[in-house]
Amino acid sequence: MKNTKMQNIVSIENVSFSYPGMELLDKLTVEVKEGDFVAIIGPNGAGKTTLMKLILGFLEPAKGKIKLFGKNLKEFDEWEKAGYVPQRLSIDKLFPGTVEEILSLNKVEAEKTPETLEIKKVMKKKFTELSGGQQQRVLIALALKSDPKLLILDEPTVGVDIKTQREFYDMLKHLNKKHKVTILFITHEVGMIASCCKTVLCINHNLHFQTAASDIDTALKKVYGDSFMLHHHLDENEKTNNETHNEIPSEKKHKKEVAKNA
Amino acid sequence: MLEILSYGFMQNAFIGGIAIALASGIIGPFLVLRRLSLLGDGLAHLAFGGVALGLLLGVDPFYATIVFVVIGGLFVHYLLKKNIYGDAAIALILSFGVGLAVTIIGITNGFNVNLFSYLIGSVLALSSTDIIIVLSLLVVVAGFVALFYKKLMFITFNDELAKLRVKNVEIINIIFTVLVALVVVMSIRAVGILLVSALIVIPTLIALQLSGSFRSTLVFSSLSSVIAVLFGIILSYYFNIPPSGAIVMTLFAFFIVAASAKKFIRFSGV
Repeated sequence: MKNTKMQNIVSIENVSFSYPGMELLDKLTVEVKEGDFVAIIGPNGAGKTTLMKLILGFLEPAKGKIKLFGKNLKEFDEWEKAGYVPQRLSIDKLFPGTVEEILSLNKVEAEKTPETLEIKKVMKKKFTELSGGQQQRVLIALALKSDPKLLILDEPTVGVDIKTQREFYDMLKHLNKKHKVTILFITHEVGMIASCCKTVLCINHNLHFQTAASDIDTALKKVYGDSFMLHHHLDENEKTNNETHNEIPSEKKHKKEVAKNA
Repeated sequence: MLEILSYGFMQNAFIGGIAIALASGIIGPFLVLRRLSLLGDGLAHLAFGGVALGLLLGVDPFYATIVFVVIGGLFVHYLLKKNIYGDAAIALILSFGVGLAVTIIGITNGFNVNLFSYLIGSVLALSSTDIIIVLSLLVVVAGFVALFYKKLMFITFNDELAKLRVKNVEIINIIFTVLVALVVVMSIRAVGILLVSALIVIPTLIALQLSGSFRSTLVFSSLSSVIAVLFGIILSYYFNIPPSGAIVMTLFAFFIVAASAKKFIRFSGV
């Protein structure tokens, strides 16, 4: 974010937006630079999805400007550069299309797609028959087919288990590091932000600020308050305990042996 | 069996029935998967108002209905864009169509026999002109879907994503809505206003039980629609029952068989 030589991929300048009777965003200014990995966090109804819809042009700001790749959003038409990954739960559960059919929707072929995402094995399967993690990979693969420079994801790991979440964020990290894809995503899984992201954009109605991902605890305190922090830490402990309980027997045995030997 | 084909009206019924079945079988999956299953029903009830208005004004009800239903379809499209729920938008035009028809019936002091024939329809009453219109409509519908297949599938998959990646989404949606309106008007001839949504929705539901892909859903939907229409016409001929009822009953029976087969396959692990 500090490197001024980097190109601005997303520029949000003094953007305000409100729904009838509810002011949601007020003079929001954000810059996302090339290579950034930004998590958007905040409580439900705080304006995260609205911001994403503004960036994608589904909503128009009441005031202010949004630019993608240096172009005003109204003039921007190179959507192959900006891959959008919707929530997998937004896909109709009866949709009968196979993975192959879904990937064929995006004409442009990029080399990195199936290899990075390990979805070759399920190409002939129906999208709705896949696990949550596989579905999310297919949606990313669809976005990646046009070789985008920016990936925008809406709560990508909602409803998937912790192991799949971790694998998923590792894959995003890989895309960000190796393929220089700028990533902007909404999440409620704050536990992985410090290890994955570079920046956090915190939104809670008119309160909005950007901070380094390493400062996530301070940011959470500001956005949610102290009581949330207590719950957050309890949740994190519970997750760690669960993961320990869910270890496969051979792993447990191995750990015990290592401890004995020590 | 060949005797049935010796009558001109039966030949028209088979040709027209197949064309209507194919057209509604092709558009059905795109509507059902976009949660617009009842659009056909709403437009058909709106057509009821159009027919009544045509009869009142002395205009051919067929042409009055086309204009009325196309405008109604575009109005629903407009309401959807304004974030009105699909079912609410459909309910709005449906009530308006029935309300208008009832009002006109009241003005004209009684129920018109012509109006009643539109309610239940009859594929056996298709004229040679109807056949030409229906076949032309089938060519247009099939051609449009073939030409814009991937774009239509993309819109069905996720309309927000499609808005970003598909050019002219709005125009494609408008043309599709107009075609749906035209198919509805023609389907009214075969199964009547009250049962028109059956031809759009049930074949898709049958296909969704059997298909393994989006493409095969379109194929199964069209096939089951055609077979049910043919079966319904034959049943109506031999048992002297209304063809519209026979067609819908056949479609329903097919759905039960398809759903049971799917369950059986799942349980037995075939």
